Amino acid sequence: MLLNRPSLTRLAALAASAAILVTACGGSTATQSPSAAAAAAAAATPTAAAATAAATPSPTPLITAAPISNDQPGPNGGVVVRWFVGLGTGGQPQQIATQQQVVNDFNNSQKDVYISLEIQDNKVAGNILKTEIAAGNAPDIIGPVGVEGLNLFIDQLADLQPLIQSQNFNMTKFDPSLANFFKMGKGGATIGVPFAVYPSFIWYNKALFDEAKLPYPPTKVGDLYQGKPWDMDAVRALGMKLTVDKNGNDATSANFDPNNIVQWGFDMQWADNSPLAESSLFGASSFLAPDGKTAQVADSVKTGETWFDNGVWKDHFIPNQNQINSDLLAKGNEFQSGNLAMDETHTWYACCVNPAPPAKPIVKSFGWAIAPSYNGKITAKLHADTFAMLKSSKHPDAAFKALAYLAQSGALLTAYGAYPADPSLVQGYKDGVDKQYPDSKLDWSVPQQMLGYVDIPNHQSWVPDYAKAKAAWQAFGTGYRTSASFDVSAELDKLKATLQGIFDAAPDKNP
Amino acid sequence: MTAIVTGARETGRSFSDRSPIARAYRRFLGRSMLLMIALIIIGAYLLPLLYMATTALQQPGQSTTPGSPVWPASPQTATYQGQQYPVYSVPMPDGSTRSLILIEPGRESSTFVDPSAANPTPIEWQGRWRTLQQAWTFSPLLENFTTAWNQLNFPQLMRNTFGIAALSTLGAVLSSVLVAYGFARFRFPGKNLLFIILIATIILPFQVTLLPQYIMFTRLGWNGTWLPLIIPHCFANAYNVFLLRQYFLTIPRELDEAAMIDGAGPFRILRSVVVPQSLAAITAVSLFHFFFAWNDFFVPLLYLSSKPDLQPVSIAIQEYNALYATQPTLIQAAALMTMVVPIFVFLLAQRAFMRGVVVTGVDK
Amino acid sequence: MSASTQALRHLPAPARRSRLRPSVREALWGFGFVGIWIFGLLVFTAGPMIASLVLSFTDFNMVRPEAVTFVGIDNYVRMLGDPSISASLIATVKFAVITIPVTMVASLGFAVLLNQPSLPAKGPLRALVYMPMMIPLVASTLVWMGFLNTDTGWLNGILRALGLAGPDWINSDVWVYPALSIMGLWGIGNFMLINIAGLQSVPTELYDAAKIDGAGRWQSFRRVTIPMISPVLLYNLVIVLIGTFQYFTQAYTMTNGKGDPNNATLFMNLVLYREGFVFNHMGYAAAIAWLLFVIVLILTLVLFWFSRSRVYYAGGDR
Repeated sequence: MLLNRPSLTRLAALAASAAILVTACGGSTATQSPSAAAAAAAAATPTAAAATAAATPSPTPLITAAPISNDQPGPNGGVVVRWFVGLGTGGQPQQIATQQQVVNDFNNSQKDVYISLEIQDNKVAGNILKTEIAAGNAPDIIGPVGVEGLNLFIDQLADLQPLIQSQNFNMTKFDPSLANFFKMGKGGATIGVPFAVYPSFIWYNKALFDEAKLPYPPTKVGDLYQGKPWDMDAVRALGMKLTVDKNGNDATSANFDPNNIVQWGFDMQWADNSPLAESSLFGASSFLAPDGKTAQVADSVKTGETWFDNGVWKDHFIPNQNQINSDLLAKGNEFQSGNLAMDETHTWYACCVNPAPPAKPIVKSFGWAIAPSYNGKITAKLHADTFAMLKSSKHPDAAFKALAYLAQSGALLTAYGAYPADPSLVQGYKDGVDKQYPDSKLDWSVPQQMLGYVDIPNHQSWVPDYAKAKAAWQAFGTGYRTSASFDVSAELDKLKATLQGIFDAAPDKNP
Repeated sequence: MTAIVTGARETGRSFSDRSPIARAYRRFLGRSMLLMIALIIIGAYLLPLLYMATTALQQPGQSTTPGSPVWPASPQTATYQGQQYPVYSVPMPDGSTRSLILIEPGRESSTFVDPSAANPTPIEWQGRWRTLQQAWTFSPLLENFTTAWNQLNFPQLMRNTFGIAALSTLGAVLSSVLVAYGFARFRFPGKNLLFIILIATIILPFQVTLLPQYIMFTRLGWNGTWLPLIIPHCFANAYNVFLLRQYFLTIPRELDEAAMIDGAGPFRILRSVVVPQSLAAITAVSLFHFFFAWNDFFVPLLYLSSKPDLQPVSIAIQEYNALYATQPTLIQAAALMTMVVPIFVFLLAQRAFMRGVVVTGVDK
Repeated sequence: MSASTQALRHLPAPARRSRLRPSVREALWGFGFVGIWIFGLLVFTAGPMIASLVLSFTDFNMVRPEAVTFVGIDNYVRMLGDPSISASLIATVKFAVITIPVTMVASLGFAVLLNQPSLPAKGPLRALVYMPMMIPLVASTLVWMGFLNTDTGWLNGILRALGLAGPDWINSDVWVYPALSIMGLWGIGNFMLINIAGLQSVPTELYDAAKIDGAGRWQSFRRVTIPMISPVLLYNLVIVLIGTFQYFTQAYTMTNGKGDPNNATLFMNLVLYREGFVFNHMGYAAAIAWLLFVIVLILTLVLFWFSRSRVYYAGGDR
């Protein structure tokens, strides 16, 4: 293949650069151009760097120090290890500064390894990483990255087991189920070390409950709400009372105007239009049957998505796609807008309840409540983050050293709003979040309890050709939120057939 | 131009006209009418820009408040027991309307306080507070611009963007003029085929050549420099060549021939006949390429992702957009600021446009 | 061309010194000028193009570059049965039917309006119309998304004030095409400038002559302006056509590349992008790119062939 012949490309490159020198830019009249360009490019670095230092009084600089080549030693004399951020969290303004600080501390503390930080916006990070991998220019470490991100790059991830042993990385401090959580690579390879877990539960806006004179939802598993079980029916009834139109009618009123809603009762924010995520409240499932090749749609998905569909179009307590993207719901950050009463989401959302400064918080005080049950059973979906290493890394030992350091950084955990997998770091994390939201007086027993009700199988677990399969179920997830006449059960049958087609055509059938 | 020419002639005669004032008035009226029509059409066309500017001046969070006005405003507030509360116009049972602050909202009855009272006491009001008129004060927030300016490091971004855009425009336009001249004025074997290939290069989606090009430039060591954004443009670009050729073909060949008889070679004909005749087109091409380079996003992102110091403004805007997705006020303020330099460039180029008109008019 | 060869034969002393025949000399000059582009083509474009053609016969996967194998014409066969390909073709054609005429007419309309000799302040007005071109596409798409939002957008607000119920612009698989065409109006700046430059190159004598012949405004626009600027209009048409088939950034920004609603904005370039960069099937994506390439090339050639008798070149043959 043409791409794999470096000699040919190099020859072409040589010819090209020679020719550029000779012909210059477009004939004799334009001789200035290329040399000027090269000079400008060369000169731009120091001056621009100086300008950065001088002209950035900002508390949240958007840019980070330029990474340096992987082949030469870094400024501290150590082996350069490239750390790629952007596949998951890590791109928020408040997080960037912390990450840079963590890296600087590491680089100044020893002389063996130099971490070079590369932060990409989440929307383009996947593409950049793919291009770098395909061009043989991949970073050494990626992360923080969740199960979904790992699925997408599973073929490229290194087995960390040998390094965990050779460098004596302590795995015993973790809960055993967590220690084994990332044994999800090819042939059971360990592709990550436990870093952070993100249990999910209900976040509620206290002001909206107060206004409706309604009691807050329960914080202990087994507690009743207004004398009835805290289940999906209770959420529906409560959600409708908390959904209000501009005249002050709630969704249970006969005068309610669904075209002028100004406040909604419930949603599962930033669930990526995933039917599995939404329906996890009704029970965990996968689109892949245990045989590893058959597509399936579990009953919980049918029940759950029908509940959501009715919630949007019949009972109106869940916003539709257009309302989510409107100004009233802060263009997608629904809970932040102050116009959503209950939001089922993960601990990572501690990042974003308040808008980034200088904007002032809209939600003055919020609370945490346990996830509702369905048929007496609670399922609170779980996200987990780790750092992974690419197989292509030229310096696996140095890379793992850096990885181990990052995976044990308390500062990073706080910046990501990540519930630490390491029990000894939990208190520091709690203090960090409490400091961020002093008025909310958060009940930490809620996330702790929810860790006992996680979704197995995980709603992001691997299926063949994950990216394409995801696009298919997202089309369903967006479909019912967009159109009132969407037939959930027929479309789910269609989705199953589509997924079967994708699984059958997948180039790579086994994880 | 027709009207300018005839108009000039008529003005020359108008001194002897019986009612020069009436004529001038009629002309003034016509021009004003035309300007009005143009302004109305352009106003409608630019309405989203007004939305953008309004957003850029709004208080963060204004748009998420139900019933907030479209203009930049902040809710009127007053202090009660050390806390700020919003002001509403409340119709009272006695028929009067009072400006009160809402301290405790409720569905069917709420608690208000009169902030102007000497000794404020809570007033229980029966009714729905959502149906009340909230008081807003006009308060454009210029701070959005300074915040965005400080967070984005604008001077450096502008320098980078302008540098990349200007250098690649220079290379692209010079080379394109030469190549277009070759296609428009010379006969050589395979010309039509070459021209089809030229057009075909426009058609191939850039996503496909992206990866091979990335590998090539990375091997050349150009990754992390401006070279991949500039050098490939220095060998003419199909859009420009095609456009310039179309113009060159509208220039009558007799002009070339006259110059040739005077002993001019191809370069002199290009310089003294073809270029002056198509200044407007060349200006247009320069502008297009400049703005293309100004807004080019994916290619700079790919090659400069590891060199934030060298990045142009398009990347910064995209990142800013992702970071402050819930704060359209800041995003739109930043986007508006990025337009300042291009508008300046455009207005400068306008003069070349006008000169193009003069040249065409005089020569014929 | 005969005129110029004739002229070359009359060339005075300096040119006559060369021993080359005039036609050879002309060809050499031609190659010399065009050679700049040919060189760039060979170095920067031809290699990547061939590479992408080679890719289209493989199962090259972005995240498994080492596991590449030749699959013959499998990718091309697969396209025939791929519902997203046919859906994207339909979506692209639907969009093209609306947006191409809208763009052509609007850009010519603005050009004529802003080239009126008696219009004051032409420069600033042109700058105003051109201004949206200077807004980064990501930002302007956001503006339009807010402007067109069914509930809180200005456009529906205005329609409501006029007593009309505005449609769900972004989320309806019917209204999304007009919505995108309206958004596309902000991209007509270039075409307007091209048209203005074209209008300015029309010799004034022709209008005078038309006037003497008793032609009205519309008559002289149809019989003088349109034919005289037809090469420019052809250029615009070709570029708009190609641009429509390569439509990408706005659709991508709007739906984050998902093609919502109901695959209505799953344009061909978006399918290509998704297969290549989202699903990692770069080999298949390269095949789609070549399908797209061939379709647009054929359309363009048809356009050129069709225009042969309709486009007037004052400077001689093509």
